[in-house]
Amino acid sequence: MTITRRKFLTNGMAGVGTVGLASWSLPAFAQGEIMPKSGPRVVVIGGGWGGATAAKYIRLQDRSIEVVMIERESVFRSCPISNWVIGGLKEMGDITVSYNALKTNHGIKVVHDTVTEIDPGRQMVRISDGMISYDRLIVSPGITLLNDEIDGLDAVGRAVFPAAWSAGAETQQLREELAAMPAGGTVVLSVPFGPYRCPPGPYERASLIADYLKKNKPGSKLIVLDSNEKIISKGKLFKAAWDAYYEGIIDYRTNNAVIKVDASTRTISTDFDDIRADVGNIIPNQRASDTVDLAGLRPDGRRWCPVNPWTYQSTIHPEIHVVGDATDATTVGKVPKSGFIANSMAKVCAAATVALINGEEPARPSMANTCYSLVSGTEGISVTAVYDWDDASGKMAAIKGAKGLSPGRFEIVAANADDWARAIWSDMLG
Amino acid sequence: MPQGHRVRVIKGTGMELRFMRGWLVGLIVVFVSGTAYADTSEGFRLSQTCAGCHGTAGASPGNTIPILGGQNAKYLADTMRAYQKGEREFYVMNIIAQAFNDAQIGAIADWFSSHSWIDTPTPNKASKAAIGAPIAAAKCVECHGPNGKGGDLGPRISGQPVTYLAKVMAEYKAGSRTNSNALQMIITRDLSDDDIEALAHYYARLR
Repeated sequence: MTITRRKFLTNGMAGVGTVGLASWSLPAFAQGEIMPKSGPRVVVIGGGWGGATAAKYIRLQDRSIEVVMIERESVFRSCPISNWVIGGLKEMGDITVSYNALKTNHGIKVVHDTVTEIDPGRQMVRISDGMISYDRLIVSPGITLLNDEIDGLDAVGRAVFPAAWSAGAETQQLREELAAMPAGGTVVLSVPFGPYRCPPGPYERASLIADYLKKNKPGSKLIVLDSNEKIISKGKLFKAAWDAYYEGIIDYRTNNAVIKVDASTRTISTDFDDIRADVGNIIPNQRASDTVDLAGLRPDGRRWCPVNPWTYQSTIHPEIHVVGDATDATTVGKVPKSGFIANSMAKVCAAATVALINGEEPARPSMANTCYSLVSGTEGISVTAVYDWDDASGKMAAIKGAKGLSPGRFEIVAANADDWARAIWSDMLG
Repeated sequence: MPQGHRVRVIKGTGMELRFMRGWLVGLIVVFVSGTAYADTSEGFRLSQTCAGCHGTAGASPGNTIPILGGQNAKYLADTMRAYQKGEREFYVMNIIAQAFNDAQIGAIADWFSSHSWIDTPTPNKASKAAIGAPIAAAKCVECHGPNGKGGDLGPRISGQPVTYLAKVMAEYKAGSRTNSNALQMIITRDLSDDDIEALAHYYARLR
């Protein structure tokens, strides 16, 4: 057992022994409490890939723990597969899932509201009706887009140049703009600096937009303005597909960060060019969602939240766990900000949360990732890794030999991607 | 709960019977739908990530990804070892199988096997299934059982999705698989593509 691990266990157990047990052994009359507790309670902020999975897997393992999940949206809309909507392969309804099964199958209390305050001292969160107390809090709020870093990307700019980086209205908007664009038009897609949510996502989107233009909008082109110096995920596989299928359609430019947009003239500017876009998709740089700042879970000057990857406890507040895209990979280990990883983190976090509440030692974490991307309407590529705890670094590390890419692009990978989505949605929400 | 316990779920009733190490030590009735694990086993620890593609407790809803929950443990372990050695080829599983040692593979296989099979609503056609029925009776029941639920000689195949079943038979027919079942599955050499499709629909429909 490493020193790092002992340290969090001490913290964790202290939380259970003093605050935790005391607060659920007595009726809760905490000031402003709108849901008085009768036993141990976990509050989950965010009903996405991390939050919904954590909520369900806690209830799968221990029905005596009450789980309250607070989610702003009334339904789940999936970021993975949302590029398929933009490319015209699926519709929003295909990537939308109800939260009802979490309530009926697992007894999770799903509250559709926005958290406006987190009080780590009193172990309470505030929603519009009042305060909800918790024994442990799991925060899985996703990302905030740093629109301010791009000159002109205010509300007006965003309306003209949507990011569509959280599935929803902007996804549909981008789809409709592409469908309405005359043949021979110019589409611009910008790729943010890493780390950002879903490393292969912009490149899959580029592939599917190009595939759509090739089939439906002859003479059109797609300019990809990448802030990075190369394709940062599955680069060779994407490049091979682009060379094979989208010659003369995709114009890929590296080291081309967008610095300015002008909504009135539909102009997108880098250090090198001013480009007029018929359809513009600007994906800004990202950091952990503003929600984490309610509890100071993101240190000043850092973009993401440091955690202990044995339990996903925040290194700042050990009774609060952070999972998903908001976590700092320099503390977790080299894992991508993917939906699969958020699901995987949430299972480690759920098992640890159940153990800590029951005064037991959390088990060694095991994680995995598979990211599927389409490179055309029919073919996909993938990257896979299985992760184990690495004692030397105190982080998760890919197991030797258990990491790699699909050997090429194949129709079976695209079919698997479709099945994967249904499987993991059912795993999170079913 | 100690390791090695088995949890059996009686489908549809929402009731759960727990047997520990073969001894009936208590009957716990849980009036909820869904499954509760209360599980600290090595198998649970390592198998949770499988759900990302195979569904919770192996209840895969997809057309190309097989159901694992309730499958024969020996078959599951043999399959992972075949993926590890490259005797069975599949781009994702050949990578994932490298992550686990023999004992871990056994624990994962036992964990899935201890859960109930959950039929998922993958599409299949009655007309094609009817064509497959007599072929199944002649070719498949000896190892896979009269209801396709498997046994010592072969895995459960009833309820698996059509696309997956057809792909597996096509691989055996083409001789691209060299795992331990390949010798028995030489029987697929005599099947036409139409036979394979009909059999896939028959077994997918047999739930």
